[in-house]
Amino acid sequence: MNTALKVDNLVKTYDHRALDRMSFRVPRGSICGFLGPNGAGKTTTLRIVMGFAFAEAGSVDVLGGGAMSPQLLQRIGFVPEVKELYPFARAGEMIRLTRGFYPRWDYQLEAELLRDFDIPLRSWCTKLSKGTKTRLALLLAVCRNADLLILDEPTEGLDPVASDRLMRLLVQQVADRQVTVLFSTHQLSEVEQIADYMVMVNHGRAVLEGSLDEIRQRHQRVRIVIDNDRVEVPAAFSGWRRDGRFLTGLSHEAPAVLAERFAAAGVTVLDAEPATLKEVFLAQAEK
Amino acid sequence: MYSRSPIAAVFYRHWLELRLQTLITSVAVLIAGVGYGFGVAGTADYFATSGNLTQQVARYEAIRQMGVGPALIPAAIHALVTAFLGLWASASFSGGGFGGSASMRNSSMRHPSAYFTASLPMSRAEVQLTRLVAGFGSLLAVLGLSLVLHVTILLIIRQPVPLFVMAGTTVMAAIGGLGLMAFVGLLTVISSGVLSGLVMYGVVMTLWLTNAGWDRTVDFVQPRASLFGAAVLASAAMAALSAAFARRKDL
Repeated sequence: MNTALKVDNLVKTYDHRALDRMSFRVPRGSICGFLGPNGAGKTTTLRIVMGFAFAEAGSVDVLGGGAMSPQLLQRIGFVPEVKELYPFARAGEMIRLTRGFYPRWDYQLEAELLRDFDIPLRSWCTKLSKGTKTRLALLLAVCRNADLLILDEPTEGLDPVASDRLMRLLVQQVADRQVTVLFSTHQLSEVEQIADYMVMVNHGRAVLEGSLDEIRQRHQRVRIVIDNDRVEVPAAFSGWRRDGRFLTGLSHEAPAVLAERFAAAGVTVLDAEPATLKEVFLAQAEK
Repeated sequence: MYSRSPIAAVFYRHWLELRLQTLITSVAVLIAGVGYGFGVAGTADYFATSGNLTQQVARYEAIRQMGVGPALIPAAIHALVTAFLGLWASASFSGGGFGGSASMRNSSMRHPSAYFTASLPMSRAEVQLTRLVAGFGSLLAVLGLSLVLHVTILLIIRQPVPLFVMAGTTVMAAIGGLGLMAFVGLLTVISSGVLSGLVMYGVVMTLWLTNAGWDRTVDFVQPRASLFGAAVLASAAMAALSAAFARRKDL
């Protein structure tokens, strides 16, 4: 796999173990959803990738250039979890300032986004609404013409129209310029809408990684009926819920394999169909 | 103000951060300049009539040794104003480059905009050092404005102008301010913004409000090559230390 970002065995401890051998890859030219419950380690991972914090162990390779450096930062667009900008600058000044650092600045895109996002250029950053701050932070990241966009909850505070505009913009960036996008979110619908790759994290480590199609194929929602209380549920069968004799859960084994496995125990597989992303997420989050 | 050079862009960033404090301090310089004129005229008359000059001369030994003669009073009052201004301005202009200036910090460890700054294609050391240079530039500008204003006022009120001594005092105040800013920059890196702000204001208040502190401040701004060299070296050492710490510190 041609990777834009490689994270290997990151360990980071604050007052608790925030990252516990976090490892994953992000393919070049993909839109990668970075999912996980609160406190799973998403923001800590992104901060280490960006060079804001340092890991106790492990390594990061960004765009094949090793750990983050000022040279690599020329090729990165970043939106942090908290979208606060300079309290001493106006919105227009933030744009002028950021332009100065990026020779590949996309003026046309800037003009389009200024129109679409309705950013008041003369307003002080402290006076902007939460949504406008987010839109400005996104403009500052996307217009850098970066090779890799790292966005920490980019749609937080955005109304549905702006959120949809952003989603379309990201897809357009990938289609036009082969940009790689890594975005963390709690919105599964956003991942389903635009992502083609997904990394799910929990308890400081990546628990699921792959293309969305792959993940959907790997996870089946299976319904079985059991005659015997002593039937053991295989490990591959997770997030199950019991309702009398019926058991419903997710499996990453093919229905035929499951049927064969359960047949010996006198269990019947009633049906199996691809799981939704939400079901996969909930099953992983419960582990 | 647009530029494609990261160095020009980072200085533009620092200018945005410093412009309000620079404006406020410049207004203060103008007000202090008027006071300087009244002070020199009134004090010169007072010392001339009271014969109290000997006591003051003892306080400004370094200036006196420069042979200013009848220009001692204008030089001494310039030293007083410049010492006060140097402390105030360097406190206002200090900062680490990752957030607001020291006087603008909120109660959090760092202003959240630090992440935006850190995402720009500059090393942390570059951000810190250019911020120190920008703060020093603003300090030089306001102290220079003060010097020009004081000289002009002396010419207007027909008092002797000890230009060399006054310029030396201004340079010493600037170098002392640089040292204070480098110290705050170092504190900002190794501790929180709140602590560095508290320590800075603690230091400034101690120098302003205690007799010993104020005497040392006034003593410092009197031109002496050895003190100048020591302050430059100390500032450079603190700036280098800040840059070294910044390389491996979590934001």
